[in-house]
Amino acid sequence: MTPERWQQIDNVLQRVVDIGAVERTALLDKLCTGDEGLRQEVESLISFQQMAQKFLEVPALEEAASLFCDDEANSLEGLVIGRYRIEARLGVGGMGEVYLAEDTNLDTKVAIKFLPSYLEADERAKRRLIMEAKAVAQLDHPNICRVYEVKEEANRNFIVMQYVEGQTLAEKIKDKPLTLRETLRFGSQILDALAEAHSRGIVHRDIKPQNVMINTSAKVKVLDFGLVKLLGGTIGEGDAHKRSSLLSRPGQRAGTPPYMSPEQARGEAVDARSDLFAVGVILYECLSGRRPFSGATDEKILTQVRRLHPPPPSQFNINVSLELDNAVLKALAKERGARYQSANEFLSDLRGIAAKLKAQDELETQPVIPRPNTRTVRTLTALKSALQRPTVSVPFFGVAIVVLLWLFTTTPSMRPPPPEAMRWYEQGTAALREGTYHKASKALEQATKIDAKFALAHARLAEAYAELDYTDKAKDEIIRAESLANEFRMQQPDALYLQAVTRTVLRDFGPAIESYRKIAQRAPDKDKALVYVDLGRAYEKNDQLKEARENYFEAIKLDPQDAAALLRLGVLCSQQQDFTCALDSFQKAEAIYQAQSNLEGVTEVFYQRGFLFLNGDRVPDARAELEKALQLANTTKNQYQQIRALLALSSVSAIEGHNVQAEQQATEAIELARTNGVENEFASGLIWLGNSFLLRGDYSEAEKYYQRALDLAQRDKLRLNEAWARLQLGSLRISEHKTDEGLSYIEQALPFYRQGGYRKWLSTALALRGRALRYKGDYDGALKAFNEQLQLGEQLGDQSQAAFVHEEIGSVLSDKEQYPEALRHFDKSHEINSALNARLYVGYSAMQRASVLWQVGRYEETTAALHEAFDIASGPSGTNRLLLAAIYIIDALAELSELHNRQAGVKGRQALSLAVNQYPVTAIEARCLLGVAQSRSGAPRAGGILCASAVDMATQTGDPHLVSATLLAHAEILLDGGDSSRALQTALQAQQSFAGVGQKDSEWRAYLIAARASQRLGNETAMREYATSAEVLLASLEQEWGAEAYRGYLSRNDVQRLQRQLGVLLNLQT
Amino acid sequence: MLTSPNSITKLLIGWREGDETALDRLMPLVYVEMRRMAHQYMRRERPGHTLQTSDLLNDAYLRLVDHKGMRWQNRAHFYTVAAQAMRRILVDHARTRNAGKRKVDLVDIDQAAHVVQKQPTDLVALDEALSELEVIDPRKCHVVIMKYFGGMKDEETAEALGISTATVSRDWTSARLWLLKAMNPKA
Repeated sequence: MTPERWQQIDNVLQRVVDIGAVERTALLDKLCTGDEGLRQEVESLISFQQMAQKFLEVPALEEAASLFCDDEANSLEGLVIGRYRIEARLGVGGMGEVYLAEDTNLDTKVAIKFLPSYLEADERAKRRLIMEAKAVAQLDHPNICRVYEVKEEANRNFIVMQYVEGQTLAEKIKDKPLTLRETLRFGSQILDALAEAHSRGIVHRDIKPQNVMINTSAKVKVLDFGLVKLLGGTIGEGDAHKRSSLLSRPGQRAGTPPYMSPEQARGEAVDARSDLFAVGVILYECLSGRRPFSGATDEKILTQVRRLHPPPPSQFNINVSLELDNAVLKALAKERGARYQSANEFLSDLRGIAAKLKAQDELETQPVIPRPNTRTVRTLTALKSALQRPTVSVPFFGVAIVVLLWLFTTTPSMRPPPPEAMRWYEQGTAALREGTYHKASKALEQATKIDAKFALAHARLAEAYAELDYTDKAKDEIIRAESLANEFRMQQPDALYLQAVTRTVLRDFGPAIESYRKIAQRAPDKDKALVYVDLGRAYEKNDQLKEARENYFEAIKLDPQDAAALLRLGVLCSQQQDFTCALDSFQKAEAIYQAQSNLEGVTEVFYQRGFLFLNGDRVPDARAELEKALQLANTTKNQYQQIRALLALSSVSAIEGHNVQAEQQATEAIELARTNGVENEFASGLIWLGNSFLLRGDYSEAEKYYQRALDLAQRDKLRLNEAWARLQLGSLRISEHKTDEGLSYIEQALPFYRQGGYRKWLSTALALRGRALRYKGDYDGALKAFNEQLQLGEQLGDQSQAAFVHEEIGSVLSDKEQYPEALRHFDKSHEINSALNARLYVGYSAMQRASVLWQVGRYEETTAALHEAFDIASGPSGTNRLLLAAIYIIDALAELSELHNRQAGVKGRQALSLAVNQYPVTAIEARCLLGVAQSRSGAPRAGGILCASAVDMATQTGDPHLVSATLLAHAEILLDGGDSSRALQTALQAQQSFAGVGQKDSEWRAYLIAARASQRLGNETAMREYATSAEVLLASLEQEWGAEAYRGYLSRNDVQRLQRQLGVLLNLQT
Repeated sequence: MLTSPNSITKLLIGWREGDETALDRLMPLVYVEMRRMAHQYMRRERPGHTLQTSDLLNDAYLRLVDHKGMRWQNRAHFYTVAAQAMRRILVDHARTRNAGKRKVDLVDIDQAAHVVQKQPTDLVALDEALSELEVIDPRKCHVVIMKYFGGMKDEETAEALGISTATVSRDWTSARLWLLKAMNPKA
């Protein structure tokens, strides 16, 4: 078939594939006139339609999973390939899978390695492969694993080789450290094997412990000679220019990073000396228990390979002699010319060392294989480097005593850092205290650059990195600081400081606070203020806000010019929505910074003040402050502050409804962050931008940015941002009512917050989880999440959190139709929010109160609460459409309950127009109640259509509460419209889900509709049964809610009407 | 064997910038790592647990590619290579199995009737059919590779291939019909 013909067929196929058979025939008649072949092709393709539904539906790997699993158990056992019968899988390596097999001709065991098929794609490459393997096959040496043949069978290439029973060196050193003698013996045998191979021009290229087998008689067998080359090592020069070769060319590396030579790491050609380098690495590892070159990523390892000069192995194992140290370091020389030039040369040195060792006494390496965290080893290391070599071999138990003495006497003291480093350090810590972390990190980087042994500067730098969410960098710095501290004795209070800062970075705030307190007790008065700020910060991080505040106060009392303390205090007050305190502190801090001409400080004040106004719903003031901050940041060219100001301004614009501007500002910030490599700000910028889209209901745009932020955060290990992005994605999904997806995002973020003790974040995550569970109808799960959150909020003493949780718990209870109890929670949240003067939240809780008040007939209070909410929803900072829509819904529902159908219709329409396209759930509710209002005003058909669409939409959300509520409304309309049988069916469907949740109010009404429908259908028995159920449930509400609420409920016009209907039915019965 | 992220990164960038040999050189590197990971995943998997190919690709990306200075599109490109590698891995696996003559235990007919097993996809036949499809409609072939071997969603496939989601979904429909026909010549 030609591409053109297929194109023609496909065009027709696309048009007919999705339509019914009759239509299809007609359309095919038209499209294929005069080309019967075309028609046949299309029809024969269509005939596979049924089959295609399941075809390739599950991704291949997932489909093959069980297959692979079986393979794990019985592998290809029993397969016969040529003369080999496969018995078991030995392993999977870089070069392919290896199986144990039986050579049925010779009755011996062999190992078979299957090569990946891409090596076969190119004939030339394949020939080369086979030639290479054949060259290796000629190697015959007691320490080299024999290659018997290279075969091709059934389209697969495989190598048949000697089967060696035993362990790899990698496994062996994992179990227990080698003795010096074992190390020397194995090393010599590897070199012996290499000497043989090198003499035949074969370079191994991937010498590593995994490729060294130790057989059962403790003899070395080196595996996989030259094979790695096939995977990407440099092949013969002549091939380098051939485009079609699948094999590699210069410039590309193959091998295993920790064992690669510098030339391999640079992608240059390798030779015999590269193998010798790898032997050096292996010896180093066996002797010292650690690899000379390491790192979290391959790239980091390779950088070390290229640059790092590792300390001699004797640093980690006192039994290693100077000569052995020298031999290993010579093998590890960066320049090939400085290494051993041949395996034999290396070998003869090792043999010499072994001979000497034999002459000496038995010396085992074992006891001192370092465990990096034990004090003894560290001290041993220090001891070792202090004792000048050549090392005398001291029996280990003797050393222990020396070590003890050493600890108390001669640990070298930390040399004071040079004054310039000190200056940077002080600048850095000052910036940390004011919360300008980026500036802090820059200053502290300078300090550590000038004095790499400045332990405290490393620790403080770690603190700055941690604040900036550069988790890995922070960890590195902490490790550096700690190892320095162990190498040198630190004076007080530096040691305490180090402890405090380290613990802070590790988010272990208890000990951090303890250390700072000790420092504060001992500090001279002139330094006390600074320590109090540090202490306050530690408390703040531990969410002990009261204590934090006290310490800031203390600092300010001691030094009224301490701008950092004032700024901190202001931020803290701002978070607690204490306007007076916050504004006062900011004003003082600003004056001091101005006097000092510290423009960055002033910028920070503007920024923080802007935030205060933003949270306080004073949007224009917020804009003014943030614009000042941006302007100043532009002047000082502090990009970090520019970015933050822009992001905050973007939020302001979004709140004001200036969407385009919001997006522009966020984009500008993101661009700045990106070009300056400030990844953390880049990631959070993306989330902010996402938020501004979320706020205006543009979910797909929001999602895009969250997703990008998530990718970025994962990539750069920005843990906080990663969790935040997940949280936002979760929240987005939940808003879209894709609850399960939302939940899974939240669940992924939760462990991070829990483990890190990020209680505020944790609390938010729990709230989202609770809400998701509520949408799923899992009310118990939701209540559990909220109660956990409530406890957290109480621990934190965080009132606004508590208010929020009360609101959520109230909502769950309201869903369960436990109105009086729900009202208690809404009252509580309303009370707290009012006390906090959090206007918007007051509005929400007022709306929530109204939503239950009318249910129990308290109309006057309902109206008052709605008015309160309305004033806030249409307040000076713009209209809050969501809140407004909710208010109209409640108002309409209340009107309905008073049987004011016309007013209900008007308000329902208002709600719908506000909610449509933006707030799906509210829109569904609005549709549904509008339908009821229309039906009750005598238009059951129109109402029915509206309500049926609401049922469909509700079903799509998967929110069972919404579904059953719409069903109940629809049942009522169906009954009004005379469709009794569907009314019955619908009512019973709703009743079942009400019963499941315990929504007794709705349930009795569903039964009533069912009873009325049954009566009309002439089914007396069913009618009687349903009516009785309704009566029992209605009566049970009194106990459920208490007498007062029940009385209020019964006073409702609609309830009275329903009661009358029920009475009629029950009277008919008697 | 580990491969250096840097080399993969450079090759990816090279490929993006029009160096066609880069893809050839990428494949072995990605193949090895992906297969190692696939096996690792398998070992972690118990039958019945869900294994997400896309997770594996994502992990491979994070492991193999040095992200500093990478553009967003490179991720999509990497996925393209990874899906291709996955195709080779699984087809190789299937071929090895087919190569051997397995001693088949006779299954009791009654018993067999109870084992309602879904016929696994014949990967070797599929591979051949895909190669044919590639000749007449390379884009559809790629869509299948990305979706079936790469486990990618329509949106991701669309992004990686630079086409719309609607096109992906249309291609997916026709390609599957075409493949089924090619794999069942008699029907």
